[in-house]
Amino acid sequence: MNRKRHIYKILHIVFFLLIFLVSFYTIDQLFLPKRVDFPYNVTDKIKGFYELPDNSLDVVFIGSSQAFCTINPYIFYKEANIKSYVFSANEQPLWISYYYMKEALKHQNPKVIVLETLYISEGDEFKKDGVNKVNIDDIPFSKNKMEMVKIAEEKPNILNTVSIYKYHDRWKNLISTDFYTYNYGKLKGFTPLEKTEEKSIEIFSVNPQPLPEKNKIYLDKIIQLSKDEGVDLVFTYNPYNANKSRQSHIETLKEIASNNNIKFINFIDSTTLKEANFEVKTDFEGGHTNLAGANKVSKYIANYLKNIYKFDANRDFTDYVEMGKILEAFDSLPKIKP
Amino acid sequence: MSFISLSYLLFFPAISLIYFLLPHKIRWILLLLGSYFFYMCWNVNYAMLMFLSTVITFVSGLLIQRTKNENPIVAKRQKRIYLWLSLISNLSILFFFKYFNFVNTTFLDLFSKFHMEWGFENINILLPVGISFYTFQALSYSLDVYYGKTKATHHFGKYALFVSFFPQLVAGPIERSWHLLPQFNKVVKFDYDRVKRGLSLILWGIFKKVVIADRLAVVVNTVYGNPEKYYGFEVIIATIFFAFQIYCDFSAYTDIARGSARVLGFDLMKNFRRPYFATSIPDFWRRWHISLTTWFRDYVYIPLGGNRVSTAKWYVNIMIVFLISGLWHGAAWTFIIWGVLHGFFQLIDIYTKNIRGKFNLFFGINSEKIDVKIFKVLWTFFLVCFAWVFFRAGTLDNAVNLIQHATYLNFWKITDGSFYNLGLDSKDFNLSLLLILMLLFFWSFERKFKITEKIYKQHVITRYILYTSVIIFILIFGYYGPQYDPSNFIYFQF
Repeated sequence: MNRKRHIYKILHIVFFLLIFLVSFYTIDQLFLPKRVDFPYNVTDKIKGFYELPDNSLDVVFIGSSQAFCTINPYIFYKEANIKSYVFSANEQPLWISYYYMKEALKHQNPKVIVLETLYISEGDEFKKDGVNKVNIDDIPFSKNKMEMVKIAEEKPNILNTVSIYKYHDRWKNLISTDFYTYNYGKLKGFTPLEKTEEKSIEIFSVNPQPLPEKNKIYLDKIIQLSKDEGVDLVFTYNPYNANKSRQSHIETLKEIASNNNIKFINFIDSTTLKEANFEVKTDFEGGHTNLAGANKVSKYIANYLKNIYKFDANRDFTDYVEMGKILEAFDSLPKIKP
Repeated sequence: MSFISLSYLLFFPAISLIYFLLPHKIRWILLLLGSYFFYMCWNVNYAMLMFLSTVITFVSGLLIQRTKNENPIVAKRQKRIYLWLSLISNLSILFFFKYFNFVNTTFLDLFSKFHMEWGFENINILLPVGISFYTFQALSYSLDVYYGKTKATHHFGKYALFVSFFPQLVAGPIERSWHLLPQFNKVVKFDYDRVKRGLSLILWGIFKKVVIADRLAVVVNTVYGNPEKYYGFEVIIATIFFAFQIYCDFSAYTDIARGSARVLGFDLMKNFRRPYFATSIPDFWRRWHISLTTWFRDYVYIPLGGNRVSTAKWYVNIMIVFLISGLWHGAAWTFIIWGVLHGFFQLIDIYTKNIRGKFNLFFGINSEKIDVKIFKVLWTFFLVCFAWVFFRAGTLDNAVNLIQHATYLNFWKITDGSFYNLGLDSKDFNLSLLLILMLLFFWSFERKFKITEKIYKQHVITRYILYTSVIIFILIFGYYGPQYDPSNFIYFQF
């Protein structure tokens, strides 16, 4: 009888924990800011990635806005039957990219991971709080997320992995989008930009310079992770008006890539830009490529990958076709002149 | 380690779990180690001070009890010497750490007025957390042994635990040896019902601290931090908020302390009883910080003769108690004035008792009627708030400034949105008012309807939904997180 009572009490506690955890999770998700407004729709990109079926991707792109503004997964499908997703967030430093790669490999088994590398030159030991939030908030609670907080924040606070801790004062500002489930990831992590701004890319003759220490450590970790997981790694440096210092880091990156037998597609190179038909006068919007520029770069990388890997054309690409329709509608909108 | 911290959230369940797994005989060791660890999280060195206080009072207790002499007068004198040694040494430590700079500064100022040099500099030293609490608790043991209320214990470990017991170590309630010490010998079994009640009390404490006190603190800090900027109802609302802030803050600590102790099978004394429903100042002191008030009653007021002396001496006794009470709260003139004010309020209450009785008789006023009671409650609350101004203001100038400013009754400020510029936006400010009303509503029904008992009698699903709702409410409406510096409990500084 006594034993039976004890079991009942334990079951009661389990029941309480269940009620609490379900309520807690619901509230935690409710208070997480939904960054779904274009083009700052990082929630859409990250949650969209986690909603994909496991092991459904051929290629995962990781990096900063230089990845999600420049890589158009629809072009990869159209050109090479590649199922891809841009799993990236704004101003993403390499130490966050490392954990994004770990998260990606938890759910996907891609042939290639393409790492966008603009932030190899980032000298700051820590990024601003806002950047950390944008990069970490939407990642589901996990050991990786806890480590991200530990490595990204100057004064790490484990509670920052919990949305309600950071955002509970949003009770005053909750809006309708906080309450309904959004259809995430329709553009596969891509952000098309529509304006055109004339830019230039000046190529300097520079010598390799050492990368900032934290970046070097995490670049090594990324390379080691790709080896451990048996997944190919490709580096890209997407079109950008890189200064001398950045270009000297690109030279270092070339050496690292060469030493580790990693492919490196470098667009800070007149030949590559020419081969991709990239026009610096028309294919930029601010510091990023616009839709036209993104399509050219994506086409170039898609064909590059097609020549190395085999991608099965006889698969269901419905969501990529749908994505194409959205982009078509987007492209047909009247263009806003800068 | 603060009660409202991740550390305590890990510390308390861990220590509770190990406590119930250990055999009764060695549990005190765990609690003692845990208590010292709890204290050393603030300052490792200051744990030595607490240890010293423990040793002095323990030895004095033994000496007082062992003193035997054929001549009772000689024996009493010897006992008194041991008691005074304990009192002087403990109060000297307290004086050095808490009052030296205050007294020294007073003399510095006094001498400088006469263009003379005092010759002593202030010392740069940190006030040990909770020193007033554990010193008074330790002293109560010496006094209890002396007055024969309790027998001296021979178990140093359990006595050290009595002084350092972590739930009530840094902000009370100030326990008495005859109440707490025997509990360490009691065999405690895991009791689901007791643990449930303890955890509920902890939850209620967290609610009061995180949701109410810390939210009200924003307005209080804004106004009291810039007394020259605010007038009329801004000062009044900030003072009312402070009255509820300090209640919620301090009673929250007591609730978490009592709840934690209850989970472990210990009973700590109640410290508050709906204080702002008091109908007079004496009544207020029967409801506010009960463990300290009764300490002063038992160890200062009664030994001085209490009310069994001439009227003049009785009044002096009351003033002495409240003067010491003010000083106990802090080494500043504002605290002394706060204490003296309460002393005066007590004297006026006693002095006017007959006159008020005659007045009521003449006008046919029944003091038991609800309208009269409400008037008395509001009047008492006004007096308490008036005294709180000195308690919170920091300096005498600030207090005088705030009281002067409060007399500019700018009624338009109630409706023109000025209150929303006191650190809280309109939603947070209105929520603060709602929470105060909710607290008063709870007080009104608590005694008659035994709300907590009714909750315990509910079906398990209802209770669990209620507990979850409270936790979620705290998580959403609590004033915590990265945008906010977690404030410690106000009473830690005393």
